Amino acid sequence: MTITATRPAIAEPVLWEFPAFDSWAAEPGLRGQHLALSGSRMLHLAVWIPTPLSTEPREQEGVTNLCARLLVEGTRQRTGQEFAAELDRNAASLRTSVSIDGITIALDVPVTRAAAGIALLGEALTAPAFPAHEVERLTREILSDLRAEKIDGGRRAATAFHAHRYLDSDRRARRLEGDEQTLARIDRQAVLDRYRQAFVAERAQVLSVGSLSTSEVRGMVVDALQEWRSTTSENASVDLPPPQPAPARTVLIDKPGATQTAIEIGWCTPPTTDPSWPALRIGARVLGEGLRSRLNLVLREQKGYTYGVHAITNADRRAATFRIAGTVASAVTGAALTDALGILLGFRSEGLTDEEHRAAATSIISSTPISHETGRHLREAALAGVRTGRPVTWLTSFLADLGATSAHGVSEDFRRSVAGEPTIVLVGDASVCIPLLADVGIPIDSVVR
Amino acid sequence: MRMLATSSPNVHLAPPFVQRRLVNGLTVIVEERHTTPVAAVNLWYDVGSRHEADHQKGLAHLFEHLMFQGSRNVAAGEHAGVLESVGARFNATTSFDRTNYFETVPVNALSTALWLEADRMATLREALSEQEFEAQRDVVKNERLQTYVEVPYGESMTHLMAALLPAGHPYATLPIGDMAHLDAATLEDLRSFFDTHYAPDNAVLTVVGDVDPENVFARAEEFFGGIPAGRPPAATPVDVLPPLSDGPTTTVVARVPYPAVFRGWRIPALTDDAFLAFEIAARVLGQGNGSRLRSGLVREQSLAIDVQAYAMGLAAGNSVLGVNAFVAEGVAPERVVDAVDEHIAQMLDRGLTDDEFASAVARHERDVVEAMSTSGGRADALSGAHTIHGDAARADQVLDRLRTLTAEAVVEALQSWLTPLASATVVYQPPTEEG
Repeated sequence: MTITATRPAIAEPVLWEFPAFDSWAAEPGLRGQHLALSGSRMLHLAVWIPTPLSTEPREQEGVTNLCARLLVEGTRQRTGQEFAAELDRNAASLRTSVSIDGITIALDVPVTRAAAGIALLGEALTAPAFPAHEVERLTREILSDLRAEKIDGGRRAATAFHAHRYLDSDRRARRLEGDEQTLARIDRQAVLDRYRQAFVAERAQVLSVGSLSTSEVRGMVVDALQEWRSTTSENASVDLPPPQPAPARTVLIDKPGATQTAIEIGWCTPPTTDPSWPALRIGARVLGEGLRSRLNLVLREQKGYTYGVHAITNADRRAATFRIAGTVASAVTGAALTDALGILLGFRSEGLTDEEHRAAATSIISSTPISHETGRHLREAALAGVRTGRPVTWLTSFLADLGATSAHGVSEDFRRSVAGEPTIVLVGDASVCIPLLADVGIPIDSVVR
Repeated sequence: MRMLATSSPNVHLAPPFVQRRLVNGLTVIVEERHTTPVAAVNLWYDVGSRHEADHQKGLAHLFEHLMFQGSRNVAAGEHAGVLESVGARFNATTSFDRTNYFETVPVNALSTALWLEADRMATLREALSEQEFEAQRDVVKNERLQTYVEVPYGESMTHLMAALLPAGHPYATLPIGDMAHLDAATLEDLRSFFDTHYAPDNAVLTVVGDVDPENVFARAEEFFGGIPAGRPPAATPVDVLPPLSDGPTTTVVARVPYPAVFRGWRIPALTDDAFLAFEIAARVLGQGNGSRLRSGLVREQSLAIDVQAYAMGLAAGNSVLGVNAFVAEGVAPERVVDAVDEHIAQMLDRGLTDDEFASAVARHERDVVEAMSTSGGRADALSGAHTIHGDAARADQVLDRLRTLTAEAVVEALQSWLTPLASATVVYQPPTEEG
C-alpha cells in the first residue's frame, strides 16, 4: 500500500446562482426585499437609509454616527438599560453602523422571536429618546476609541491614507466618527436635528433573509414602522458628490519605538458601476488576496518580512479605492516598500498572464457559494449591492461580467483605472524608517511627528 | 459504491452525522448538508501548545505555518495555490489544546482537498527544509509583533495566564510561544515533533456539505488509509488546580490609550459538565449591552468605557473565567477592580433573576446554532467535540444541557471558584509622560 494515492483531478464546478429576492412596498413609502430561506432558524434583516455624510455640518462631523449609535440607547418607552434587556430577552441583536453614504440598522433574531425583534427595531427607529447623558457617554466612548487608534499603527495608517488620498473638501478624507473638535460641538439638539434630517422613511429600504414568507415579514415591518414619518420637508440628495482626489504623496507618521511599520499604498479608482470593476477585483486577487498572491509570495513566503499584506477594494456609490495594506518588520521597511512598489507597478505595466487570469477568475467565481452559505451572508451581499447603487442580485451580473473578461482586457482596464502615482502612508519609527527609505531612494514628502 | 472492509461499522451517534474509524486510527465524520454546493474539510490534530516540551514553546504553532510549505507530492506553497485557485476558504489555527486545519471548497474540489490534507499528513517531514523553516520563523515573529506587541493591550493574556498559573504549567505560555525557543529549534526537532503528533490516530477528519457520505468515506480510505498509525503520546494528566487564594496583581506600564484591568479566575475544565454554567455566568456578567457589568460599570457608574466577560474553555485541568474592563478617564483602576468584585459578590449572594438567566440561555443557544450555520462551523464543532470530549455528539448535546441547567446551578458552580482573592489581576497603565 502506498502512503499517498494519486492526486485526483478537479471536477467541473457546480453552477450556483444568487437567489432571487421578493420585492414589497407599503405605506409610509417603505420598500423591502425579502428572501424566504427555508430551514434558517434566524431572521437577518437590515434597514438601509441612504444619507451621504457630506450632508453633515462640517463643524459637527460624526453626528450621523453618534445619532445611529444612540438609537439603541433609550427610546420614549424604555431606558437604554431596559431596551438592552428586552433585546437580550429575545436573543436579538440590533446593531447600527454608518458608511460614507448611509446608515444601516441590522437585526439578527431567532425566527421564533422575529415579531418582537422587529418591533424593537421599529421602536428604536421611530421613537429614540437621545438622552443627554447617553449622548455624553457615547461621545466619550468614541473619543476613547480615537485615542486607541493613534497607538494602533495599522488603524492609524488606514485613516491617514484617506486623509491624504482625498482633498480636505471631500468628506471621504475624514473619519466617519468625526474627531475631537467636531465631537465637542455635538449635543443632544444636534443629534435630534440630524435624526430629523437623515432618518427619512421614504428613502429607506428593508432587506431580509429568513424562513418566513415575504408577507409575514412585510406585515411585521409595517406594524413596527407605521409611525415612522418623515420629519423633514428637506429633499436632500442621497448621492455623495464625486471624489476629489488629492495629489499623490508619500507621508511618514512617526511612531517612536515601533517594532513594525504599517504601510498603505493606494489609488482612487472608478466605482463598481464602471466596466473596469471586474478587472480591479481580479487585480486584487492576483496581487494581494491569499498566500500565493504576488505580494504575499515575495514579502511573506519568500522573505518573511510580514505576517501578510492585503489588497483592498473599497467602494461607495460614486468612487472607489484600490489599496494595499500591511505591516512589516521595522528593519526591512525600505526593502519591503521597494518590493511592494515593484510588484504593484510591474503588474500595472505588464499585466497578468493567462494562467493568473484564469486562476483568479475561477477562484472568485467558485468562492461565491462558500461566502454566501447563510442568511446573514446573503443579507450582507444584498446590502452591498444596495449601498453602491446596484440591485440586490448584483452578484449574478458581476460574476457574468467577470467570467467574460480576458487577461488582456483585465490588464488594460487595470492600467487605466489604477493610474498615476500612488498615495503612500507609513506609520513607523521615523528614526529607523527615514534612513532606510533614503537608502532605497524613496523620497518622503512629509513626516508627521 | 464499494464497501470499506478496513473500516469499522458505522456508528450513528446522533443523526445526521456518521462516523467511522480507519484501521490506522483516523476518525472520519461526515454530515450531509445539501443547501449549497460546498464541502467543509476540517482536521483537528490533538496537539496544542500544552503538549510542547518546556524548551520548545511555539513549535505547535510553527507547524501551523510549516504545513503549508509542501510535502512529497506538493511543492512549497502549492497547497495554498491549489486551494486558492478553486476558490476555497482555508486556514489553520493553533490553541492551547489542538491545531486545526480547515478548508471550505466548492464541492467539485473535495477530493483534491482531501488528497492535499493526506499528502501533508503522510509526508510533510520529507519536505521540511532549513530555508522554509527560517522564512516561516520570521513570519511567526512578525505575527507576534503584529498581533501582540504592536497592539494596545496585546500582551494582556500573556500576563494574565502567567499570573493565574504556576510557572511550567502547560497553559502558562500562550501558543505563540517563545521566540528564543524557535531560534534554538533544529530541523531534527521539527521532524521529531511531526513524527510524534502528526499521525492519523492523533487526528479527526470531518467533512460537512453537499456530499455523499459513502463517497467521502471511500476517498478518506483511498487517501488516508495507507498512512501508518503513529505512536501518539499518552495523554498527560493535568492537575485540577484549586482557586487562587492570594489575589495576585501584576502592573504593566505600556503604550496604551487608557488604563485597563484584566481579571481571571481558575474554573473547571471544558470537559467538566460544570463549564456550561460558567459560560452562562459570563453572559450574565459581561456579554451584551444589558449585562450586569456593562450596565453597572459603563452605563450607571461611568467607571469604565467598556467591559466584557468570557469563559475560555480549556480541555485539561482548569479553564479561565475572565473580565476585561477599560477604565474611564479619571477613575482609578482599583475602583474598577472593586466594582467587579461587588457585582460578582452580589450575584453569588442574591443569585440570578429568572429573566436574566432565561435571556442568557436564549443568547447562548442562538450563538451555538449560529456558529454551526456554515458547513465549516459545523465541521469544526464536530471535530472539536470529538477531540475534546471524545464524542462528536456533544456538539449537539449542549442544547439539551442548556434546557436542564438552572439559575441555582449556575450560582452554585460559581460559589466554589469565585471566592475572595481567587482572581489574578493585570492592570495596564499608560506611561506617566507621553511617549
